[in-house]
Amino acid sequence: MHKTRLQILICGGTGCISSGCLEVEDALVAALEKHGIRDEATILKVGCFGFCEQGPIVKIYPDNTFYVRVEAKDCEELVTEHLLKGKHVDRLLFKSPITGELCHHHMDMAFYKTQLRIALMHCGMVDPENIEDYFGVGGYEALAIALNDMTQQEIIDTVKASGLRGRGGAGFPTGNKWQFGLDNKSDKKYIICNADEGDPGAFMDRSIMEGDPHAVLEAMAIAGRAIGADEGVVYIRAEYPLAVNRLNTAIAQAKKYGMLGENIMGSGFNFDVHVHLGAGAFVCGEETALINSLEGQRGEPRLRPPFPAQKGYWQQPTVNCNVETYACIPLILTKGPDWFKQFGTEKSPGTKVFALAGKINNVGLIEVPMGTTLREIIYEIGGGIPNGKKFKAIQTGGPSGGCISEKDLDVGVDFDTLTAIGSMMGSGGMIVMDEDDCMVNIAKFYLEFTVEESCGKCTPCRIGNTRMYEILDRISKGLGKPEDLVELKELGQIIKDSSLCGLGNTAPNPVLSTLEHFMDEYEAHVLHKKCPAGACKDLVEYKITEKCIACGICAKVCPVDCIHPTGEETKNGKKKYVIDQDACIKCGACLPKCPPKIGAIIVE
Amino acid sequence: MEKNEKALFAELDSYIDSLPSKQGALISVLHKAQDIFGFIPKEVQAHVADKLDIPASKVYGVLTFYSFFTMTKKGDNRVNVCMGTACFVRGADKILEKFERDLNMKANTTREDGLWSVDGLRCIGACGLAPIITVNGKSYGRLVVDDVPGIIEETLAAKEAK
Amino acid sequence: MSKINSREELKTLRNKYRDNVIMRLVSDEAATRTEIRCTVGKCGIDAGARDIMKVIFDEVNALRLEHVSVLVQDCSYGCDSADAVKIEGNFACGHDCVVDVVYPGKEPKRFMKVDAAKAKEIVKEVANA
Repeated sequence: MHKTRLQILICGGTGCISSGCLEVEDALVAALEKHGIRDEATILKVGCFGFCEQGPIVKIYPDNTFYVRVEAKDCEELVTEHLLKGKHVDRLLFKSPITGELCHHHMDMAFYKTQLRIALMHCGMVDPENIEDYFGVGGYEALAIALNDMTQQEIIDTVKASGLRGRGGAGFPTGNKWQFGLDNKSDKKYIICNADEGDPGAFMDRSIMEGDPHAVLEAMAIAGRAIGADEGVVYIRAEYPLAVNRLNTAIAQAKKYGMLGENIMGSGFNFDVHVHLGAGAFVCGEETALINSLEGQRGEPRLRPPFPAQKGYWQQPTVNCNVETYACIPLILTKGPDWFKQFGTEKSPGTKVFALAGKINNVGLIEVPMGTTLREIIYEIGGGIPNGKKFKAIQTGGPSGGCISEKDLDVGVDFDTLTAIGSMMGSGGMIVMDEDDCMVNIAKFYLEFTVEESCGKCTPCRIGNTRMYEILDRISKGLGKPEDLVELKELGQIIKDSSLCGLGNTAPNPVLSTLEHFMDEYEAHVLHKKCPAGACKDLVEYKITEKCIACGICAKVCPVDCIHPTGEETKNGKKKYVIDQDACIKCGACLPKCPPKIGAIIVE
Repeated sequence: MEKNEKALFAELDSYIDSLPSKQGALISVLHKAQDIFGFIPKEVQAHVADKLDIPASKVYGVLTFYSFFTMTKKGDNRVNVCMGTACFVRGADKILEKFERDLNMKANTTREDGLWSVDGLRCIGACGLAPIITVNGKSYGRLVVDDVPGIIEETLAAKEAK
Repeated sequence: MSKINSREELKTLRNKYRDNVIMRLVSDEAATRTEIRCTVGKCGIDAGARDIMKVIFDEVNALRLEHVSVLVQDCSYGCDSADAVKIEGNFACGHDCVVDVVYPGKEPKRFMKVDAAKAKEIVKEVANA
């Protein structure tokens, strides 16, 4: 049965690799060898456990102990204490910031308690580079069901019955999409997996592909069988090398076992998948732009209709779904649509994966039932705001979404509720902001992104967004006029109504939602020429107060040498330091240098 | 370009010749070209256009559409500062400014002596480590501005050791 | 490995590779698993506790007891030190090797002076429980 007494799982996602998990693996192997128990343990690099803030994460079975922020130098102690004696290494356990208790199991942690993993069910559990693990947890059983027990229409009816909606952003019912794919007759059809996760601050799809690539491949084959396609393409960002590698490995293994290729499991059904690298264009997340890009063109959206399900890739019927949508499919087939529907809300069944980041204690990848409130996500799972700062806003949906304020935190998150409060689900990025973030500056940040990423095909998006950006830039420099605020609102609405594709239709959202919820901040910038958060450089001044003891540390770090001892005398008879406002570049380097107990430098 | 230019072009040609179909292959070919040359200058664009039998203007049009492709040579040391939202709200802009100041150059350019390139990058998805940068492929996460001088020194020392 | 040509072959593979993952599947369900804890303090190890642990592990495997986890634990008698005294060839406490069995939600049941034969009996008892 068990090959070894111990199984040690190391998180091998991009996040944990950046924080040094490969060194941990080497050190662990060395320590096991040193103590002569290398043969007692299997070491596996698995997909993301989700708790990126605490990486690298090491999980030890059968004890089921969850160690956080493990470094190479800790491995000797892990072996001598835990593996040899069964004693927990307390200093590497997660300590609850609220109760101070040590958490041995991941389910003891508030971060995991309210989570429910469907799309991520096997992520962090199976070895993504070994198809055998996936077989072991029942992998490809859903494909066997789709090939043996169901007609094409029955597969689609099952997906429809589950109520699954596209996880890529707009929430279009997946079953209906597949129905169009089936109804449009052709000898050649295509299945596309949209893995062009371009939202800044989003890493859901990447984690799924890194952690459970076979689930995506299996679902694509099921979709192929449902609509009668024999070819699938994964369109993935070139910036995700690890996910690309793992997908390619998974495809090769699936072919070797005949889970892809010709005559799959003796059914007569053929299906092949290949990977296509994107090249860094956010607009390619839009499905018609993606198809143009696949064909080697500039990624500009096409007019719809015809829809991709009618004339898509190479003018053939094409069904395109997002990674997370596919990841839900195998379980819907094996466990049934009713099982899936019991989670979530009536109109948005199931779960949603979110990438929780920004000013939040527990940065990470989470999956919760639809309908979970933002408050639960931020304060229970996310552990609240760091450094005792005050919550200001949560941004969902990336550059297409909006900022949500304190008053809407008790809204249960699903496709429709988020749209109703001026934001959107998007692909699932969630960025938390605190009192130090200026909402004008954030709106400007997102708009700068969309201006840069606009493909330029249609005028409202190309020129309208640029004009909006210029207005915001003026406001952030203290040059805004009251009528600018009216102009922003009007222009934003026009761009939304008249742009060709989803990028333009949603680009003004960050501006419109901040205008809606944070008008006071805009007014402070426009009427009083102040940035309350102190983030807009042109509106702040660094000053040295009379608390100055003339130690001169600030002057030493000033990159433009604009701090000099020229002011009044301090208590000890020295000259107080003064910042020359004309020369100051507002880099803020001096601020943290002033000893906290003195605190003479202030931002106004 | 390097002296073994011929060999590089030959490598690109053999890749293009190995493709099952040239239809729709432009972006894959450009990926390969950038792998081989490090950037995609005019001569390479013209060569790709010839080989794929498409106008050079189309190659240029596609190349400039996608941010992953570059037409200018990058510096010996490549600093990429993640400018995703998570990094932005945790101060990535300050990190980028510090590099600009300490290296005496502008972001998104290559320094005249060819020693450094500093670029603001789209999200690399390691938001748990925000703000994060990569220098010559090595990641540095949870950075503060004061870490920058040490990273520059470390990078130069590593190059010297080689 | 050749290609899978039917649903039955897939099932065979699933059963075969379930062994890879069963430890991870069961460990997440703490409420239903039985733990066999082998005491491996210094005296225990000198008395062959690691060999006993291996016997138990092999036996659990042989009987395919999926819901059983074999763990190690430190000595609980406090005489586990370098100068522990041997009394008539035994160690200070004289209990080694010590094995605890913990059924789901129950208090540990302790077995003392466990040798290889007794170890196998313990596993049988767990299997029949």
